[in-house]
Amino acid sequence: MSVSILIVDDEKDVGDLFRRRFRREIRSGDYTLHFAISGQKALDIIAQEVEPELMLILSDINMPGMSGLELLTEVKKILPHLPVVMITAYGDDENRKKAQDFGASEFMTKPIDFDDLKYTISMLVKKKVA
Amino acid sequence: MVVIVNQDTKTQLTPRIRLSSKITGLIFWGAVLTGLLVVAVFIKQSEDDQRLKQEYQAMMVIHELENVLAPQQVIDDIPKNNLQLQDVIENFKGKEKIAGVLVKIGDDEIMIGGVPKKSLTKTIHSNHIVDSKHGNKMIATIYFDPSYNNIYDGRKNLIAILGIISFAFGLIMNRILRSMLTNPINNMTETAAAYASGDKTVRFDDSKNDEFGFMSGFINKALDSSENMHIQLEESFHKQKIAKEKAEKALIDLEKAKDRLVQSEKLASLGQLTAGIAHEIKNPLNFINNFSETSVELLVELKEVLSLHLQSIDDDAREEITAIIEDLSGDMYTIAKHGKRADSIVKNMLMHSRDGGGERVVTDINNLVSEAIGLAYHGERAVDSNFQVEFQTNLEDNILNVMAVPQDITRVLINLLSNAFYATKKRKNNSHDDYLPIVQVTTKSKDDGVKIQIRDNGTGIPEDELKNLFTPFFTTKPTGQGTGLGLSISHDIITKQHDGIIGVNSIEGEHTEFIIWLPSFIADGKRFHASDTHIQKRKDDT
Repeated sequence: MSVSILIVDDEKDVGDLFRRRFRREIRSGDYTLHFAISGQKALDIIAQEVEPELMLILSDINMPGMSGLELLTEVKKILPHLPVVMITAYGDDENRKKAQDFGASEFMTKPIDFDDLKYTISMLVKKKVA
Repeated sequence: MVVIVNQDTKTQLTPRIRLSSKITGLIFWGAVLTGLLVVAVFIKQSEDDQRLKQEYQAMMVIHELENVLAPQQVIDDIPKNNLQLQDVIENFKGKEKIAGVLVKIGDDEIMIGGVPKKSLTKTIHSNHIVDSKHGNKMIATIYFDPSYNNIYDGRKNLIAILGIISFAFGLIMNRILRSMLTNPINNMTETAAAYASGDKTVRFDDSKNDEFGFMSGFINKALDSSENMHIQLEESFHKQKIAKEKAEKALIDLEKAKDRLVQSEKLASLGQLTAGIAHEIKNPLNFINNFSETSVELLVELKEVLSLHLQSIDDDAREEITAIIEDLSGDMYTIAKHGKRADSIVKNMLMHSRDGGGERVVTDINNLVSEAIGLAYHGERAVDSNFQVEFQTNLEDNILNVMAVPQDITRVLINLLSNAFYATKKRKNNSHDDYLPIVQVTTKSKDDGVKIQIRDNGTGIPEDELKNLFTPFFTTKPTGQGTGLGLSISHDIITKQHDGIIGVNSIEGEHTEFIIWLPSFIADGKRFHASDTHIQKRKDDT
């Protein structure tokens, strides 16, 4: 079963980066990546009910328009059990605490440690499937 | 106190002294002249008395002669050897001091008695007896005994005595007046002059029970009160001076505090800017690091893929391709390495935006200091096994507690200590003599807080570098050895996070000393010492 992941970031290069980093996983079919350039676009994708079913959202916090934390709140309304990992350059305690309060599963800081991220994803998927 | 002697005052005193001398002189000469006048009057009186007496005696003589010659009012001649006449004269000679009488009537004359030398004479005319021939009046010339002058001489002595007495009187008066008037005036003048020339302790002689005594007493009182006033003025002047000095010092302190505040505001805004920049750099850095790493991975894969086909390519091309892939791998590795370096710099920069990060807890600063010394020393030894330093720690027993984020204060202390080590090492490398690196760490309670001093005998800091010491990115270390953020972050931690003060003093080539002050922990208006910690803990437990 392929793990369907939605990546939300206002920088398009982030999508390329994930695709490059998870190249092997994508090729082997372990991961299926979706990319949204804004919070609103992310909500649209969720509404379209992409295939396969979304297992995880990775979202930036500082974005123009809807912020990552606002998106998190919205997602938790629609899909309360969908894990959301917040990834931000602003790894301060205030953001960390907010993310936790709003129901984020994990809080990671940029630059992204992809080995760590892969481990986190596998743990979250295990938890969700269980 | 400096007293300026007014020269005019001195010259003004001279006429006054002259005045008092003049008064006594005037009185003296007045007395003498009065005496002389008295003497002159007396002499005149004596002469008048003598003249009157002579006239009276002469009249008595002529009267007696007239009585004797009375029957003949007009006579031809004076009867010679007239015993009666002789008797008259003898009688007078016995009673009065008459030596002889020359009786003359017309041309006829008779001398009765003797004519002494230096004799006084008195001539008198008779009104009754007239010369028969010519009608001339009888004339009697009386010769007085020279001893008659004795009366006058006796008076002369009296006059001399009077003169002496008047002179003596003048002299005595002079003396009395001098002691009563001139001397007190002179004394007062001298006292006043002494006072005027600066001796404020002199007082007028008020022992005499007279106007001078009273006046001196009053003046002394006035002087005393003036002196008291002067002392009070001096005191109040002194107080004012102290107050002024205090105010000036307060002003200087205020200026310093202002400068410090401005400086710390500047540094704070610089810190914010630094943090802001760091965040913005973080995103592109994210790509650089990750893409460089994936590029390295991709190149490994490329090599694997190519290895299957390289055999079919000619040698030159194969070598070239392999070399290019190696170069690319090397370049990507270098990019990844420096990306990581930039990342660590950015992480340090972000330390500036970690306000209220950690939780502040009641802390015994001595524990933190001891811990930091251990960590810093072992950290340094791990890098440089030859590192040597002598620690001189002086930690105050039972020091005041502070509210602190322990890991942040430790971070500051380690930063300062490793700077100290760096300075001593640098000095040791530059000198060939027996240099012993010493780092002194002192803690003590001060001004309702805790003072931590970290002093090294390293290279010291040049004066122009001191003012930039806490500025972000300011470093004197070679590139790659320091980010220039250690002290700026320490400054933030102490001043912004802990409301403390951090300062530095240094003499180039001698020492550098960092001083940190942290406010003490207060609960219920009380300050707690290190030994009170258990009380506080127990309080928290309940």
